[in-house]
Amino acid sequence: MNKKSIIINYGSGNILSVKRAIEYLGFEAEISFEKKKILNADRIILPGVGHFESAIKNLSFLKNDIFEFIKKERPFMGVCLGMQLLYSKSEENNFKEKGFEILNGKVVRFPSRPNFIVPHIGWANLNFEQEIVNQKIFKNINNNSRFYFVHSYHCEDTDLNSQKTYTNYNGFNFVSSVAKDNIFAFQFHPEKSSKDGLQIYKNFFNI
Amino acid sequence: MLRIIPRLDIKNNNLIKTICLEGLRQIGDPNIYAKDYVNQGADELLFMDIVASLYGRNNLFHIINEVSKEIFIPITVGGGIRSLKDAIKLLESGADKVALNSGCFSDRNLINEISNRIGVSSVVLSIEAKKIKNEWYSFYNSGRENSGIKVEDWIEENINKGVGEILLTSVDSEGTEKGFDLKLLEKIKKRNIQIPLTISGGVASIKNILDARQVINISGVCIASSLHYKKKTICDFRTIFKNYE
Repeated sequence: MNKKSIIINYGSGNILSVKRAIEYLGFEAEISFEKKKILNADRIILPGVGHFESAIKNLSFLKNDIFEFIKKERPFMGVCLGMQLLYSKSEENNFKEKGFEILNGKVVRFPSRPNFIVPHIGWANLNFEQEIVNQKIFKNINNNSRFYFVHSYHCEDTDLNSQKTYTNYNGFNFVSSVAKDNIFAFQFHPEKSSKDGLQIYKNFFNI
Repeated sequence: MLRIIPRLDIKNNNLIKTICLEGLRQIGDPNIYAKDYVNQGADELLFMDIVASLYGRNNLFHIINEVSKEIFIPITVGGGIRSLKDAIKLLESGADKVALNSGCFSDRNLINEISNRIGVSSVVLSIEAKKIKNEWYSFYNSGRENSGIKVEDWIEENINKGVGEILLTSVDSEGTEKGFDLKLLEKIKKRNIQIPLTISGGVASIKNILDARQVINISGVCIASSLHYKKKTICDFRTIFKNYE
């Protein structure tokens, strides 16, 4: 059977721009919500704009399939909410509904401080951890490159075995990317981050 | 980091430019200008259908559908969005955010309804402010009709309905290239807005931006005339903001 790259469609926004970015680069990806297709995909993208709780509810029947997929060591990418869903729980629904628990840590809101504008909307730099430079996903991307963010929550990653980039917003440092084995997760939107963002998709499809 | 946002006002598929939202001049093909601005390093693009409210519908689907196949930065679209259906149709054409103005006056529930479905961060409250005596009022239908509601009250009424950011257009400054209306910023500053604010109208130099930033914390600035008429490039607005938090 011909293997395909799948963008998981669970009713979240920005799916179209992910697909368009991929097609612009000359790769193919199918938008799908079918269990069978997802299990057989050669790579998966979990996009995301929306609310943690409704997303995890829509996706709960796929939880085991996503686990299975990741175990097969095929490339998996989570974007924005699609990154947050990989953690154990989120403050967005008072830590009630469980996330995928694929990465260690939880999702929390930005602190409430005077003049700390939330949501964080705009371009910001990625600061590379030393080891992440060697990750294929960041091939041809320099430390301190700018990417586009839109979020009110961020991931508190407690995983010691993953590699990360950090981003500073208003003096507050948060995890902006995580790479662990075949899992790549980004708090920013590569599909909205112009040339460097497209480079990430290109790298992902070349892994 | 301050966002530099080229503003493309559209009428009948053409990029146009107005002065104080009046007396429009044709500029050219929006697609060509949009791509040029992305290549120059724009952070975002804003498309406004400036006759949409008069006709009661947004006509930018086709343009957005085309540009978003080749442009990979955030796109906000405004003008004539009257329903959740309109907003969804624009997102499905390739917009990332919708800017709402006129529709919010006829349906005070529109913002809640749209943001519940597409998420707060995709909803922009667009305000057209015009000065009358010493007060600023929120106008609609492309700056033609006065709602009679003061700008600061309108912000307060809507900010908790599910608005991710505010786009504040000074109708009086628009197209003048003489800087944003700083008194207007002083007026709204008192309300302590805790969501991102983008200003639009009259900004044509770094000094204009710095002047505005002295008054209030702005996170974005729209630029039109000086880019469309090729007096400046995006870089001219960027130089000193490169590492500006």
